[in-house]
Amino acid sequence: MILALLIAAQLTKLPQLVDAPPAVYPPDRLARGETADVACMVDIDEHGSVTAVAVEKPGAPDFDAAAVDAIRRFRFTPAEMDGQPAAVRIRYVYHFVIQQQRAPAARQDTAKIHGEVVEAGNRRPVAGAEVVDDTGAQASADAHGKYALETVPGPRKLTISAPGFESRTVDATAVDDGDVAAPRAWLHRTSVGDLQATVPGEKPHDAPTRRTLTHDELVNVPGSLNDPIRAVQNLPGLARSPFLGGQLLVRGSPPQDTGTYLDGHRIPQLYHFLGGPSVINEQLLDRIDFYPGGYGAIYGRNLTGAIDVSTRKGDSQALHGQASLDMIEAVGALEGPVGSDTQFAVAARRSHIDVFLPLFIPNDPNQGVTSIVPIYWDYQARVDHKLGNGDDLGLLFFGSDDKLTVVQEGGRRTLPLSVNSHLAFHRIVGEYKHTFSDEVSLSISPALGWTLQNAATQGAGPGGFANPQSVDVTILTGELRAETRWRAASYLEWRGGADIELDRASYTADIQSSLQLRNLGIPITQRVQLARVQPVQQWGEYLEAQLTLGRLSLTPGLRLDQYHWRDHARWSVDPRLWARYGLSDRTALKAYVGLYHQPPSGQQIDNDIGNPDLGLSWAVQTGVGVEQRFSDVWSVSAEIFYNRRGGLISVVDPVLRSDGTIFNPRFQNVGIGHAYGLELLIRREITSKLYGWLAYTLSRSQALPRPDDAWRAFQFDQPHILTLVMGYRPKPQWDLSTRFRFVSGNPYAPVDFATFDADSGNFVPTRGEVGDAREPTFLQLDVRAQHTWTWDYWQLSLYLDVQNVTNHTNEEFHVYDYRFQDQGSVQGLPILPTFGVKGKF
Amino acid sequence: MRVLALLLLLAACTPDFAAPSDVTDLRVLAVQAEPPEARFDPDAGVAEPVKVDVLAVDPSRDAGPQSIQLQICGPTDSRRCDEGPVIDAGTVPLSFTLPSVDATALLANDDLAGFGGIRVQLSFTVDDGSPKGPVHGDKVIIYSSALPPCPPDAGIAPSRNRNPALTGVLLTVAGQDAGAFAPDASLTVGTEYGLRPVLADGGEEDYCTVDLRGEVLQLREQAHYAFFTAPGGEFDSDTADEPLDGGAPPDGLTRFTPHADAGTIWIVVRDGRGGESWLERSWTASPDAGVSPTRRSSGRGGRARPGPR
Repeated sequence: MILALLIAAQLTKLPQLVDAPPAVYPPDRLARGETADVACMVDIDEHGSVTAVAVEKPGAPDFDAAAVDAIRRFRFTPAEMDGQPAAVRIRYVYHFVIQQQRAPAARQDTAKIHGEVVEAGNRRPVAGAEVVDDTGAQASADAHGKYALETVPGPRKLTISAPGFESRTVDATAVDDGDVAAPRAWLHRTSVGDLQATVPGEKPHDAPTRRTLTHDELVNVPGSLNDPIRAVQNLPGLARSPFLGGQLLVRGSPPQDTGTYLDGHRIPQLYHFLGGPSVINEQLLDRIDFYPGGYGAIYGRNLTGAIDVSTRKGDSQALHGQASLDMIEAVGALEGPVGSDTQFAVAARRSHIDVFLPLFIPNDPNQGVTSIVPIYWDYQARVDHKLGNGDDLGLLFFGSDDKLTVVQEGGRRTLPLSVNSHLAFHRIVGEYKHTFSDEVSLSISPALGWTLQNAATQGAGPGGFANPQSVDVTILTGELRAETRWRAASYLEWRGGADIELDRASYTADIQSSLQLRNLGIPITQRVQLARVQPVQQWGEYLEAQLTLGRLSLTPGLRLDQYHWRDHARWSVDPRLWARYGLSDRTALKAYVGLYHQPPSGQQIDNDIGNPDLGLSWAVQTGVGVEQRFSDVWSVSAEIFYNRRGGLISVVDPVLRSDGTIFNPRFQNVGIGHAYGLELLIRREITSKLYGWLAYTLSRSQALPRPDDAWRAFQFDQPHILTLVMGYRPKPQWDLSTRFRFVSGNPYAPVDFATFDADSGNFVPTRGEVGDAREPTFLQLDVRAQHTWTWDYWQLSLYLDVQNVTNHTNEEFHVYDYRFQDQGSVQGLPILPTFGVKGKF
Repeated sequence: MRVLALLLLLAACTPDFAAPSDVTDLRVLAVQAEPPEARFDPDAGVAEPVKVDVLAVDPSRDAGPQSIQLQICGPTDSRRCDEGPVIDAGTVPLSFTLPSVDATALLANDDLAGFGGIRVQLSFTVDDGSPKGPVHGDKVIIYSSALPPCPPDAGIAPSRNRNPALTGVLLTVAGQDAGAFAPDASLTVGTEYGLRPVLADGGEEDYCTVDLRGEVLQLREQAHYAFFTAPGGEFDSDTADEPLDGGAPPDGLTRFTPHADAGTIWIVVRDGRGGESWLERSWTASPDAGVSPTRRSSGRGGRARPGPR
């Protein structure tokens, strides 16, 4: 049984039936010519032996008993989880078919029938399908779905069946001493998820808390906008970002504290803007590994979490494709083999929301005319080749482009505004894997990247900032990831590697820069035109050992990072340790502690607008947890964490030095913070028709920006985050799902009173601290329905996704009028239906 | 980028608050200190006297007594003085000379030891018995003993800040010149007038200062306007900057539309470093077309408030 949401392990090999002694046909039934299908749930241990059989869909008591008795004597090759033999549960249908008794023939004529069994809609081979003809001759389809049946000449009726599929009958005429081809058998699924093949992927990097999602069943979570990477936001440890925002707010920390990676290489953003989808097409997605904290030494230069999205190879057997269209975008993907050793996969996406958006933007005389034109697109192309010596070679091209134009004119209360914004990045990633022996392997992945960011604004700010401004940034990036694994002994594996990133940022700016004056009234700005090159080098090395001592697994690690920008150098040493102890086969305890460092951003170390003397921020992450499997359908994971942060970068006031000069660094590493909480994940899979999980996070996150300040809540500190996701598939063609969220309102600093400042002409509020007041609780129910039509060569799906189906009014932000007397809230999204169509072959 | 775009969408989804330019109850629109930057002799401990004028208006009530109370202290985050005596500065007109200031004591309490001048915060409360309560405000007055130097190639000499002045307001209709907005002007109801305030010569001063890195700079002020109207009229922009090139669009820096038969507008100009002044104009309006906005002998005045010119 494959779990849609795996807490720790991933199925990498299916069990294969190698010995199937036949059942005893109930004599009464045989005499009456009665047949039956008995569906059973079969437990197979790590040796391939059947340990338990339970009837799921009975035929009749005598058929059931005969089937159970026969299946108990079956033998399989063991299934594998993460490359290791493991126990699994499968669904197996035993078919009782009447064989025609024939008088022995005068001579043993033999004929052969060969054929192919594929899944309807996508032509994927159905490995292990059983082929039985009306003489009782049997055969099984191989991994390519091909079978060869030896039988008696003459017209034959072949019954083809496989667990999770409808049986199909094809006719073929066998000829004496001949080999004829039967028509291809197209099998339709009866239920989704049984023995669904997960493309065997690279074993993910181990961590005490790694929440892995595979895309097949999670693309249909409502509210995810058809994007499995958004489904990550339904896991514990992530705060709700406002509206459709894709910000990753992990364990009470801002988005810049969590690293986003694609195949181990850092990318500037994971989601397109304006609540858009992720920059990776879901068809190229292998899995998403979300590390909320406590991960090992392979990831660094992040204070809090990491998300690594892995792409997959193209299909190695046949050409497949997909196209989809909805109100927001059009997407296409194609994959397949090139020869026997090479596979490719390509995908592309382009938005057309700019056509529909004007229908939703209000335009009235008071507010002015607003036009917002967002356009985004992305592409991925992957080629994989297996060399003659078994090495793997891969090349991945991907890129993303977001462009936004906003123009606002007229209106009583709005200044004319125009904003042009563009963010694009492109990467070439190479991958080489070599296995020296069973104990030693090497992987090397270089990457080249080009990132462009430019913005031009007018009217976007008060006073001098309203003047035309523009910034253009171009970053050339060279990266290298390399890792060696050495299994020194059965209980010890070493992992060591490098994580290097070299950036060359060149930027030109024509901006209004706030002068470093002791101001009175509004900031005084001056036009600044500059052209600058800022190189940044980041070198990382790590070493990790995994010790397995019986039930205890210990993973100590050490990561070293060196940072260079202009004439500044910084270094960090990050020791990390995590442990896992299996109390039993069903219960495991885990604990971790580690030190994490993060460098300042390019803007924060700029000579003119930042402080190039800034140091590194740090965090100590600790946690303990338990994973309990109550049964094969119930599992619970609970974790308590505590993060302590220091050296956080805060804005500071100028101070007087002892020699009478002024020191105005703008930013300094004087902030501290902490976050702590409980994360709970309860998962239950009742049958393959029903799936779901409940995620609950109880947490607090606070910061102290400067020593003289008071503690205040993190901007998105949400003490209670409850997410319930449920999906139901009454038939394979239907997919119904729902998501319910209950989240604490965001904190804000209430205004105690306001004073009119005659020098600026504005009212200056005196506030409490962030967290002294909260918005009302957020409640939202989303639903989704999808229907799929399947023909032989292709499938068509139609979906309707309705967010906030009850049109509940949620309040996102607190706002005040100009003198802080009247107050109100910015409302969240109203009911938002979207629909789309997808075709696959 | 995403934050900006979402904020713009928010602008379309925010509650419908009143505009700052609509004056419907007691408001303090501006405070002028003359001079805005006063001399201070640290040896004698004597500061130059400063005269303060407060533009406080309340269209909701008949002209009634307005009282003002003051406190003087060093600058605070709340803009209100936490300590010091409360001085009753009298009633209408809100114009008074600042009591003597202990600038020496304030210098001692300044974190930056008087860098850029000693800052004195004048916190005040204006009350006219309005049911909505008094208005709290503050104005910072700078006392300087020495003038900052000028860069060697500057063509100006060091000087103290002066208040900008407005000499008048020009009107346009449909981009065409419509003369000056004189006191008690006659307008046409429903007509959109472009307004262009006229700054007196020298209103945007060139000046020298020292920044927080110790660099001597020569800068030029940029005037910033705020527009206000009593009920009966409407501005489409609450604020505007003086164009850098001194020109202005054909439809002015803001557009004003009278909807009633009479009213008053105020235009405040600030130089960004403590200097400010204002202009008040009453108007009448009729539905007739083609009425000149220049002065008429039989105009009805609004509630005129004496103010500095």
